[in-house]
Parts: sequence; C-alpha cells; structure tokens
Amino acid sequence: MLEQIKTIRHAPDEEYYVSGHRTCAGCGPALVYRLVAKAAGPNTIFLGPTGCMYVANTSYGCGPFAVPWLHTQITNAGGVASGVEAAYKAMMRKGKYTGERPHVIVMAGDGGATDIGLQALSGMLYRGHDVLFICYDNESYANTGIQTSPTTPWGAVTTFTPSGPAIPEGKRLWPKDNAQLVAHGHPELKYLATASLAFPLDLMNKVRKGLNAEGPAYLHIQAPCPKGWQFDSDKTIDMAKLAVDTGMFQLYEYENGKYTITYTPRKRKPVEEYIKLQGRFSHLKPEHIEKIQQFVDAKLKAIEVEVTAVSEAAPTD
Amino acid sequence: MEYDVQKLFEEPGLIQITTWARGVIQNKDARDVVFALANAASKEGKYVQAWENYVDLPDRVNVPVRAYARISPNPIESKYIYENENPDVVVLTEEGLVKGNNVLKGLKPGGVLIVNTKRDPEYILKFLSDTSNLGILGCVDATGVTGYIKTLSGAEGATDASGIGAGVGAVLAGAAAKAKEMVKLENLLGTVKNQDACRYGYENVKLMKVNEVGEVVSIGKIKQNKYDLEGLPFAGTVPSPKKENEGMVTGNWRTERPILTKELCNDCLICWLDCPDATIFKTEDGLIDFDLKYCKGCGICAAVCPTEAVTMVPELDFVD
Repeated sequence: MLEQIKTIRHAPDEEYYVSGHRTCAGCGPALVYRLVAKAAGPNTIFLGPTGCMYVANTSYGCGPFAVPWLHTQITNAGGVASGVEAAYKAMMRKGKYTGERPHVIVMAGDGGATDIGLQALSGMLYRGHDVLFICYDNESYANTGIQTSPTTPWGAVTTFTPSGPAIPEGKRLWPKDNAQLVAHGHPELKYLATASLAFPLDLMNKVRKGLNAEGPAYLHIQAPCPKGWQFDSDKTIDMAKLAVDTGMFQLYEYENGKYTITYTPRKRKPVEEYIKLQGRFSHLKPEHIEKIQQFVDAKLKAIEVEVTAVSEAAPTD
Repeated sequence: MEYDVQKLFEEPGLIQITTWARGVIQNKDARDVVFALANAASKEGKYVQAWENYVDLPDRVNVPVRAYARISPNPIESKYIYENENPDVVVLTEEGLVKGNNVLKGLKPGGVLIVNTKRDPEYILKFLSDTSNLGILGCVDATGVTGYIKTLSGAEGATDASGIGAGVGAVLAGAAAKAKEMVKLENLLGTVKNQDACRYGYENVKLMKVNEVGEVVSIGKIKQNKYDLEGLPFAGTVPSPKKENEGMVTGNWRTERPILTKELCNDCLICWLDCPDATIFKTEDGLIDFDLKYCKGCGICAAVCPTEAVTMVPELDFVD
C-alpha cells in the first residue's frame, strides 16, 4: 500500500521521470508525468500511447524514464496494459515471477484516452484489469500541431477549428466528459478521480489511491499546454488554478458509486478570468463568453456545487 | 573520364540563409525572415525556396528550431537537400541562441550573422566559438521595434492566413538584406506586412566587420555515413537513465535564467515540486538550487514562488 503524502516535505525526493526531455518549456503534461512517477515509485511500468508524452520524451533513441516504459499505438493503450497486467498475474500464478507485482500505469493524452483510444480503455475497465489509466488532458492534439480533440473547449481555436467570418466562435462542439463516461458504464471500476496541477499533493495522493485500489482506476488530469492554449510558459500552474477556481475544471473522486468533491473554491471566479489569459480564446466576444459561463454553471449544478460566480472586481457588500 | 566530385556540386551564385529561433513562440518570425527574403528575390527573377527544418518539428516552446531559404540566379540543384549545410547568412531571432548552439557551423568564408539584440556586436562576439569564417556580425534591436507574432497560422504546414513579416521577422529580414547583397530593399518592402519595421532593420542594424571576405566555396563535402548496424539496439529498446537523460540536454533552451535570492527563500519547496523538468534540487543548507544543464527557463519557479525569491534574468547577462 502506498501511503498518502501529508505535506510537501513528505513527497519523495526520488525522480523516475528525470531531467532531459524535449517537452515544451513549461509543459503541463511533463509535470503531470513527473508527479505521477514520483507518487508511484520504482516498481512501476508505464505505457505510453502516441501523443506528446511519447514523441517529445523519446526523440532520438533515448528517454527520461528511470522505470520500464513501453510505447503503444494511440488506439490500444488499454489493450496493451491489460496484457502486461495479465502476464504478470499469470507468471505469478505459475511461480515464474516472485517479486511484487508492478504498478501498471497508462499515460494517455486526451486523444489516446477520450477519442482514438477510448475503445481499448473501455475494454480494459470492463474486464477489470488492475491498471491505473491516466489521461493527461491538454485539450487538443498538441503533438501534431494543435488540432481539435473531443476535450477541446467550445470556442477554442485550433488549426482545425479556426475563427472566421462564418464561424466567429471557432470550435462549435461542447467537450466530451470522459470521467463521466468512464464512471457510469464500467461496473468493475474501483476508483476514479479528476486532478489538477494546481494541487500537486492532491494529484499524487489520487495516483496512490488509484494504485492501491484492487482493480481498474481512472484519473483525468487537466494539463495546461502553453503551446496549444497560447499562454506564456511560466503561467502553467496559474492556468490550472484558474481552471478550478472558475469551475471550468472540477475536482472530485468517485468510489463505490459515490462522489466526493475534493475542492470547492470559496468564491467562484467568472470564466472570463480564465479565458482572457489564453490566446486560443482571444477572438471570443462577450456573448460567446456568456455561453461558456452558462455551460459551466449548469455543469456545476449537475454535480451539486452551488457556488455563484463572483468577479474579484465586483463590489461585495 | 575523371570528375572532381566536389566541383560537380558547385552552385555559383547560390545564397543559403538559415534562421535560428525558439520553437512555438518565435518560429513564425523565423519562417517570415526566410519567406520574405525568398519572395523578394523571386520578384527579381531568382530561383528560390524556403522551408522549415523537419528534424526540429514538432517544435516545442523554447527549443532551438531552424528555417531555411535558398536564392540563386540558376535553377537550384541542391533543392532536395533538406538542411543548409553551408549558409551565407545566419539570422538569430533571439540573442540567447548564441549560447550552446553551433550557429556558425558550416558558415561560408565571409558569411554574415544577424542577431536580434540590443547589445553591441563586441559583446555578442564573446559567445561565438569559431568565428574564422565570419565576415560580418550585425546586431539590431528588433524586439525594441515590434513584437513576435504568436499564431498557429502557418505552423507545421498549416495554411498561413496571418501574412508574412508583421513582426520581428520583418526587422531581421531588412537587416540581413543590408548586410548581404541579395535582394533590393524595395522588393523586400513589397513582400512584408510591417514595412516600417523592415526599413528600420535595414537602416539601423549595427554592422561589425569580423574577417575579410574570403573565397566562396562549394556546397558541403560529400559525406559518407557509416552505420554500425551490429551496435544498434534491438527492437527499439534503449537503456533507462538513472538520474538524467544525457541524450537530450536542454540547458541551451533558456532565454532567461532563474536566480535565487537566498535571503528571501523560506524553503517552502513549491518550486521544487512544480518544475516540469526536475531541475530544482534541495541543497545541504536547506534551500534549493537549479540544474542549469537541463533548465529550459520556463519561469514556473519564479511564478509560483510566494516570496519572490526567484527572479528570471536574461541568459546573455551571464558569460558562463
């Protein structure tokens, strides 16, 4: 059993995702990887379906993984992970492997988890393999130059959803909610949570809960992308914090059929404060932003978070 | 009949232009320099090509990337060679690129280097290793005139709807045209969006003669690559690093360097946990320090520091 990390001083010093990778300066997914590897520890096998965290990390015949790491197709991380887990179980049953069973962790992008790889993920959850499947969600196909994915927010510009005279808002579809999709269709699922880089200890503890669960677990982690979202590389953590403070991203756990909200901002900020800092939303008009605000309000109501959005600048008396 | 193999590949009059930039945040301007110069030369009836270095793609924020142009009075025979091996002109969209990048590699004798900086050529010269072929070093404060154009338009083969030469690229193209005779200013002005910026670069670039112009040599020596097939790893398996991945050293990505003011640090370790590149380590005196071999200079440590103990300082302020 992996213990919960109480304070930053209790976080392990050891790195299993070491320095030396070709990810962007200020890369959100890279930090997710580092924290996940830190929390999981040395007895871990990572599976890396195609995406930034495959291509940027393993360029030129080398990689930053101090633990075993295996590339999978973007379509089939869930399938390969099932095989790795089943192989260890079989080897242990036959006495061919006597060590402690390693943690099997998939690190998929939103393409590999919510779009192209969804079918293999669902199969893995359905069959009940003891695997932690993590989606580092940077809300686009970033590796290939920022094309829209199912989690790209409404109104965001990507190279496939440009803003123009005919479609001024850019992207016209509302994002797919993969955590909800996973939670309610897979009876074998043992643990599910969403996490944010704004709360690194909470993120690491959710990783550990997912690994401790005996059976499949799913983590959906929002990972701000300075390239695709178009913000300065030092603003990655700020962006993650604003996402949860505005309700654009919600933090919760789902276990035994019950939701636990793990973070509720005391005062919810209007989504505009999040949107105005990102180049991908720079074309949006007030009526577009209002539409996103309504979407977020409705979403929070659905998970019973009754916090009204209050602007910092607005009078409070 | 005997041929001199080197002479077979000679292309008299061919000019190769290489631009170095920081990935994502400056690659539009890097493309604009080469596209503006190539388009202007095309107006003069020259044979031209301009493209990005495929090896550098997909680009990442701050990673050094290259864009190229070729201009020739004759059909370009080397058009399928995808890197400029012997540039006549090298342009840097940001001054920090002189550190840790061999930007003058293969430079033709008498070649030109243009740097976007407000510093003097004498200071920039200190950071260049082999300057024996460098003819002219030009410095121009392009960012003082206009900004970088940050857009996904035109990136990685996508359609460019934003126009060429609206920002820093226009200044640098103007400066390059002044330092090396290759296109007329009027034709360059006819291709860029920001004509004032382009003219500023042409008129205000500080040029310094480094060496006398030598003879122009032929395009690079023909290399014979030898591959050690026996020594290649099996089925794409590579060894796992223990502490660092020396195959991808990223210290030369920085434009700014984090500096710790020890008196202000309260040892909260937030920066240590928030560094995507694991380049912050705990020191024996209970504080933290930075691993500059890998730090990419993203600035997250400075942004999350609650006591403002970390500040970002221009990389070129440091000679080490």
